[in-house]
Amino acid sequence: MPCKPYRLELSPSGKNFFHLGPSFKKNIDKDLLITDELVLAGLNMHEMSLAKNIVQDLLTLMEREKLRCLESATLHVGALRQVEKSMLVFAFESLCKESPIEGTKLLIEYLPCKMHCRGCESTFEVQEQCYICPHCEGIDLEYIQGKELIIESIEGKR
Amino acid sequence: MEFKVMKKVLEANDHLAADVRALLQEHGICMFNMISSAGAGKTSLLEKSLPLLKEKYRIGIIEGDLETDRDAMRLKSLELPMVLLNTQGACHLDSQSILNALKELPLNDLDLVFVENVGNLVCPAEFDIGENAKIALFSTPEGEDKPMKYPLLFRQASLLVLNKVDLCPVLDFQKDAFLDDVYKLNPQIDLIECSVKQGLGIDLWIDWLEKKQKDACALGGVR
Repeated sequence: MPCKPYRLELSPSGKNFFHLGPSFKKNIDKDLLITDELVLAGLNMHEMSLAKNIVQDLLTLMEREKLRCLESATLHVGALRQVEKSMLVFAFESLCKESPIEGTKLLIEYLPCKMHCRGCESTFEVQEQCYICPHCEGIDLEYIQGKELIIESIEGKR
Repeated sequence: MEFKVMKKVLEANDHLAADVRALLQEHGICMFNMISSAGAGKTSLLEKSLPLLKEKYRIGIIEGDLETDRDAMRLKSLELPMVLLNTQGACHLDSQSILNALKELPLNDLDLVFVENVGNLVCPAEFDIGENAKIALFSTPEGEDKPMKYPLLFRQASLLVLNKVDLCPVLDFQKDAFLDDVYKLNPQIDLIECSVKQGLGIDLWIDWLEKKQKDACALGGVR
């Protein structure tokens, strides 16, 4: 959900330089209303942003595949994404209420971080968040896996 | 019936980030995304360094805040074009917001844009906003154990500014342990130690920004 920009006028005489947005408890998003309770639960955060994106994607996918119901969606989450499973599921289920995907199960599979070392051409799984090649101590690495945030598959009925 | 979809969840944001990059390139602008916890010193660092930088570069600011215009008011005396984004509870800035904000700035008359992201170590690291570099600002009172708790930011950032180093002795901040963890997470990150309050390291910070701006020019990213 993009937020509206407010231009800051630099006229030295003006006092109210810009407007403030409406209170954050109001209807933030036209499609997905974030309720006061959720905001108060501190859930308008990381997992909430992701859940909103997931819900929107699922609704689009459902339409694309002409599904009348969606039983489950499997999400692949890279280790670097810092996603807390229970928070994401709670945010997801809260957003799904009274939508066409109410009751859809969100299945989360974590993927460990894997890197390729350009120095010695080896591949390794990152242990204890150490991004140094265990074989040659090289630091010129590239991701093979670990930053995913992908709806891998969905299961539903036409 | 199962359908393989392989749909990237933040794809829409990534596409918009590409639009932001194209817009910046078209106008020859280098944009920095400053990320830290609340209270680490993002606004203070800008207050201290922008008066020096604005002698040489034409600067714009995008100020992200959950609520209030307080940071924007602090930076107002710099008399630089500025756009305030009140995210109203959302914990980060996204590409669409940045795109909207950039359109409010006089892009033809800018060399550098500083985005002061919402104070948060988690979400802003997650969302690409089309910046040339992510800058992590970290302050010693936050504790030396934090990099491993918030790995994504330290992985994504090109530069780590360690602020409030003057407080190390008082806080018993274990700088070596901190730097070991940062190095493990991102061996290629640049590091500047500074104390905004005491004016330490501001010269290094400015040098780094200038170098980054030149690199961006050389890569053809910026005219």
